Amino acid sequence: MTGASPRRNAAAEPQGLMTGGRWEPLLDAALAAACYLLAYRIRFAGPLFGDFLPYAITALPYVVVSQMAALAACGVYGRTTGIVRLRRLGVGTAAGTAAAAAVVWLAHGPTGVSRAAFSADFLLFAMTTIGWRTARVLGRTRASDGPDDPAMVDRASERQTLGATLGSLVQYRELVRNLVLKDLKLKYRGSVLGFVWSLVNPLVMIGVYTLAFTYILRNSIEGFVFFLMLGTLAWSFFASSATMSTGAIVDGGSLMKSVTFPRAILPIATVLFNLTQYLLTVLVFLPVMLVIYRVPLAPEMLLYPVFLLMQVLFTIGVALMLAASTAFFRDVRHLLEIALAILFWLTPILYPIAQVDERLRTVILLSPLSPFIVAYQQIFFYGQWPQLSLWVVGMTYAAGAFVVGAWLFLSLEDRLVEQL
Amino acid sequence: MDPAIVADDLSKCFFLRHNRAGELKVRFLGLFEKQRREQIEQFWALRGVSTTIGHGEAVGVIGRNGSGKSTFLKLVAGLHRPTSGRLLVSRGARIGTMIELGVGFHGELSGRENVFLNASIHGLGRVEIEALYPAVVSYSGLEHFMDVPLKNYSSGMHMRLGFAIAANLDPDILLLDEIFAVGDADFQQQSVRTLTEFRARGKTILFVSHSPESVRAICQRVLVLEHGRLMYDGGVGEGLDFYARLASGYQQSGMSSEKLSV
Repeated sequence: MTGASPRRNAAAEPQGLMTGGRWEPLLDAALAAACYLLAYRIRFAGPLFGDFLPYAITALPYVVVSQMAALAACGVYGRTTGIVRLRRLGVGTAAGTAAAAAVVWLAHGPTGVSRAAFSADFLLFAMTTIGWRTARVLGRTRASDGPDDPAMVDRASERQTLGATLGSLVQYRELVRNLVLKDLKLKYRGSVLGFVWSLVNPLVMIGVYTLAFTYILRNSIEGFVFFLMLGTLAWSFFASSATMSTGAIVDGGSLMKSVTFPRAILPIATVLFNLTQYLLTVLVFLPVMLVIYRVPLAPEMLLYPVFLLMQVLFTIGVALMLAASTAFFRDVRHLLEIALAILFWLTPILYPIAQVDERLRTVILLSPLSPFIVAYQQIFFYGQWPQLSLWVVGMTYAAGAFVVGAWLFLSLEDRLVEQL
Repeated sequence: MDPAIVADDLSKCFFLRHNRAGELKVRFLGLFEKQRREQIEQFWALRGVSTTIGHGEAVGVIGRNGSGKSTFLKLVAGLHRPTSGRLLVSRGARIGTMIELGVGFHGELSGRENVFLNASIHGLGRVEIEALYPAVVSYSGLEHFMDVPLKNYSSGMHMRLGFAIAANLDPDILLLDEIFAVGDADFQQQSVRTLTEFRARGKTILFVSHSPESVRAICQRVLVLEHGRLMYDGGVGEGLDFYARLASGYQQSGMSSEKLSV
């Protein structure tokens, strides 16, 4: 439709981002080693770890070499940018882990290969290699091309950076607050029972599961109701945040088309609305449960906010990904429904992780919501300090999801309006 | 004069997507049938527009539907990114957009709640909004309706409230898009008065309109856009004449096919 196609803005194409220079492979190699050892630590908790450590150490060089060879073969260190590089990283880490497992199998025989440890290794390695690169891109302030005029902003090269977005969250805190309040008011306005409805839903759910598991499946865990409550409430916080966030951008059509504000506020406000609801429910249920089951207050309960914060960061990351990708691909909503149904059973909500078959335990532990939910159960139900693997996996997931979600959202943000 | 907005060879291209491949179904059917495949057509809403608008100028932007008026406003507001060229806007200027009034209003919330929500969308803090609130209420003349849910407002009241908020946000650059299309004579007079006041206080105004009277009342300069190109940039009277000739020329030659405005 056009004669002379005008030049694209140089700043619109991120040039040379995602690359870390000469020390890039070195950092990846160090991460490959660290992730493998961590994965072993997660798989073989307690005294077992000491027994298996020598195996891990002897296999370490093979693992690092295979991982690095696969990354190089997949072109991770070539001249690529953005999404392409992320895809290559994903493929490269998967291929590298598979190659490492094969090499260890050849060197030590089939008994030397722990499938669970290698899957943990893959998840950690993929998350960290992708994570540090996106974090680096986010941290960088993008230089605008052309003469820099202190009095004027160039709309063509202006970009949202993570720093600017976080800064504007502070400036727009009143908007965040009003959006959360609006959703709360709209939810309860006009209904007679109001907030009580928010308690009825989990109550019924917990009741049904208790009946099913204690009377039909004959599960004999003392205080099973309490156990269920910890998992189901935290799960519904995540599930409803994820479901609602798919509409956060797409349903905000007229708003997006006529006012400028940091778009990330919409999915973040969705998560905070669900967090408010979750906290209100917890405030009602938790003290009741603690009294009924005579759980004494313990210092490890102070860790609850720490793990909750990790879960919130993780949920915000997922919400940012879902909100932006739904604008481009409306099927995300339906895919999410299926994913949530599967994820629910892969998370130890209705069953304690200790009852899971030893071989599957690592897999269950590595499912996205497990580190947080198992931590809540250990803190309140078992009265334990959350085990190390929960800290490691939880932090990796929280940081990884947040960083990748923020990067994806900010790099798509400019094009969101045109997709509505 | 200090420039507030500088456009330098500014172009914007939209991709009109026929059979959006946002759905799996479309992608799947596209495998078998060619016409079901996603087709992307380029649509240049603005082509090579260059102009400078100084601080305190009130500029009317006129042109037929689909000529790129709204796109220009949206680029200045930062809602869309330019495809090529440069668009400089003074740094830190508070930009007021009246592209659509009452955006983000919610029918179930009361007038007061809507004022707070709407003002915070523009980045205001709570203290600022509380300070602003009385002025908004008295400007809108809806003192008795602030506790009523917005769904019970008439469309005129709806717009009054939207305009009252926008007018009281005190922007440095005001972008207006066709807001006088609806509303009674009273409201129109009030808004024209407000805009002349804005101009007197040295605010920059970009005003998209189809109504020659409003443009005459408010603006001192006119930009005429046609198919995304800047055809005229100068005085109001001459610009309106130019536009009238342009529009009638098209009618005579029977080329009245109007493109959708994007």
